[in-house]
Amino acid sequence: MAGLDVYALAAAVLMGLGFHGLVTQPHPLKRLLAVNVFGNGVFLALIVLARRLPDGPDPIPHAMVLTGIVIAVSATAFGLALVRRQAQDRERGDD
Amino acid sequence: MTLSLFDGLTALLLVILAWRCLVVPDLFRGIVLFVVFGLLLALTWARLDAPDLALAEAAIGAGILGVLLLGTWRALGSPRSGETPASSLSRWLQIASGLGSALLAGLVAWALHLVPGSEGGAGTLAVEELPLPATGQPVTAVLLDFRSYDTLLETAVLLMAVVGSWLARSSLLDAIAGNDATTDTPVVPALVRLFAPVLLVVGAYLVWAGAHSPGGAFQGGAVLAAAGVLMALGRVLGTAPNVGWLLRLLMVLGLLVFISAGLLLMPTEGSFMAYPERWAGLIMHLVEYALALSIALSLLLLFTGAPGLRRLG
Repeated sequence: MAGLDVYALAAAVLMGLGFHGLVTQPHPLKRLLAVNVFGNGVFLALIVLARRLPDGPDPIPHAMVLTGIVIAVSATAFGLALVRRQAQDRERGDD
Repeated sequence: MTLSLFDGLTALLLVILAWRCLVVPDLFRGIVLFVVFGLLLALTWARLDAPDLALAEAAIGAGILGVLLLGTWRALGSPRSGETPASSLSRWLQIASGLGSALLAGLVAWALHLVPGSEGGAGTLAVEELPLPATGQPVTAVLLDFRSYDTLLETAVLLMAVVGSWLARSSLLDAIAGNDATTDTPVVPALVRLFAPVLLVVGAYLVWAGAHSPGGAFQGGAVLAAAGVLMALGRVLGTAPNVGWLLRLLMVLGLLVFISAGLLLMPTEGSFMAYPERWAGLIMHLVEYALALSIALSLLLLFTGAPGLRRLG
């Protein structure tokens, strides 16, 4: 690999940012965003690796990332439902 | 040279957007920045020779996820949740986390820099072995032919997420419909009537196009779901407390078709999800369409958060 791949660097920084956000952010919605940023960093790393094949991009990491995007959205949607439920219960507890 | 400048700017913007989205105190701005981040990521996928992912990211990652995030922000509603509180961790712990994350980023960057392009790996093999007459599109073919388990289980995960959010009993649509003045204008229903049919056609086209060009069940399903979200916001579709049997059937249709195609051919082919070469293309198409329908419905129900749907008019 000649030279420095900026996208590989960006993928690494996204993972670091996502992890830091997950650890330090108190709001559950922000934590979900942080997990998603981390996940996107992992996807970017996979796609960067897929391009290093000499003859055309490797379809296998692409397929894995496509699966990953759908799984990430499913998990986030479930997390959001839990966040809403938590807020509902808290309101009910306050009354 | 211009391209490398473009790459540098895109990578830098990605990092800045992610950073701002995580540290900005206003939750709404954080979500908007995240959606912009998703769109830029879609552009990045297109730049990195992954048009399938660009479509999926724009439709699912930025589109559907953005709607879900904004809806939840609206549902949380109370004024104090607008500004997120500062971190409850002590200063030293935050610094420790920052250092650890920086170390993680550094190690990952180093590892990515060292990994060579692997010749003769699984990727090369897959490209050579692809049943090209069946589907001319490598990513769709890999998903349905070599990585069937991934696709099958991912659809199951989506279904589980829907069931999970039913169990949480926190309907998103009901929560935001109560205090919504925007749908009272005559513009919204008119726009919905205008856009929904176009979106439905685009969604169906993307599923069909998945066989020979970028597109596929997930991208098409997400666009179909977006049409449903639009109709739900424009009060054409409403939530219902019960699941009708037709809705249930459509939700599991993708899984049913996929599993039965795998199981029924076991006696002749010898293993689960092995398709005879002559019929592989036809079976893949069948599975794609069934999957797209189920995915669209599941994503739509994740948005409404209620078990059922009904027509309002």
